[in-house]
Amino acid sequence: MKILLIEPNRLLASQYCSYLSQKGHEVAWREDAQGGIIAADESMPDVVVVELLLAGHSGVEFLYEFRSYAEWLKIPAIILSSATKSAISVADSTLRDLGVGAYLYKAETSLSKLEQAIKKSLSATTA
Amino acid sequence: MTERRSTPALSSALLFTSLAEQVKLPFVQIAHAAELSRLKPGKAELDQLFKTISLTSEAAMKLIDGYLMSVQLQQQPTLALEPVSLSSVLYDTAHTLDGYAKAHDCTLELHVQAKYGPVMARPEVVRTAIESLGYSFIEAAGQRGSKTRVMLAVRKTSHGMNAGVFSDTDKLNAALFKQAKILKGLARQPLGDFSAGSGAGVFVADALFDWLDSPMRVATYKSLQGLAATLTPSRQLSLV
Repeated sequence: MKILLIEPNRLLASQYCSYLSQKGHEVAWREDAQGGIIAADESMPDVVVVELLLAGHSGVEFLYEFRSYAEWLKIPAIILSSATKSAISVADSTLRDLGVGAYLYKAETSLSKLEQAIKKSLSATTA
Repeated sequence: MTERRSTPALSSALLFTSLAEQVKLPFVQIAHAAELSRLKPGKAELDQLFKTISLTSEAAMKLIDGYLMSVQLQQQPTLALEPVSLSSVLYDTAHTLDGYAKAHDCTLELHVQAKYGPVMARPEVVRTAIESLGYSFIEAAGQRGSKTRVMLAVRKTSHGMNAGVFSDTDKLNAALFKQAKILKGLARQPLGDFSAGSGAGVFVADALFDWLDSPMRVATYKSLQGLAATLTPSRQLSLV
């Protein structure tokens, strides 16, 4: 499975990449929204995992941009953030409109839980 | 609406909020390292995991120490200053930050232009302030790509000795820093385009330099942008 990970923290990103690649996935990591769009363009991912709190453009801005391209409309997206869902000022309906399949809070998300969410999100799309 | 006045207690509370947001991530990293270690890694991978745990926990502890120092100093009525060699502080700090910079794929540089005389300060306060700032700049640099430069520098100016941390970014400016100080502990990303984090290290450094009566300001050095404070040279020793 090709996963696009947009995560600003380098050490965390390397841990996500290490775990997911050991589980047989191909991970492309970018640290910001702009890099994420470029990476998505280079290799169509099967799923996108994005942090909302990015330097520069936010994860939500990334998702708006990402969803503006027809070929990426059906790619499942997962938010993996250091902010809780209740702490962010983005409505559930907005997240639904942006095709966010799961909202994961980093402090409560183990690496295996992340992988499960990725698999679940993809199976929900293909079902 | 009641106007909220800035008091030392309120400032400490906001700084604590910022700190709490920041130190969550090292805990997550340590938990992930533990999970990765269960995947039966090879020796090299295991060494890397231990290194990550060591670096992240050290950075988090230094940040907490810096916060505690800023709170404790607020309770001290007088400034008991002593001559401090900024060059020496910067050498020590560069040594401390080296591993963290490498882990963030960031190039750490040290620029001390000459043998400067001492300044009037407190060595542990200046060291902690520069360290906190350094950790923040390294993390922010890691968010901008590979081989980003972070420089610890001291230089002589007409007002005194200017020491700080600089980086090759165009996202840091006086307006952003002024706004960030207002948003400290209230916004999740007070430093906006410069950093995705809560900026706790920057605010800890700011509080420590404030205590030294040497407010931290946005500065430029060798085409790099950064934050620096100007400290008063020790007149007595410079005559020797």
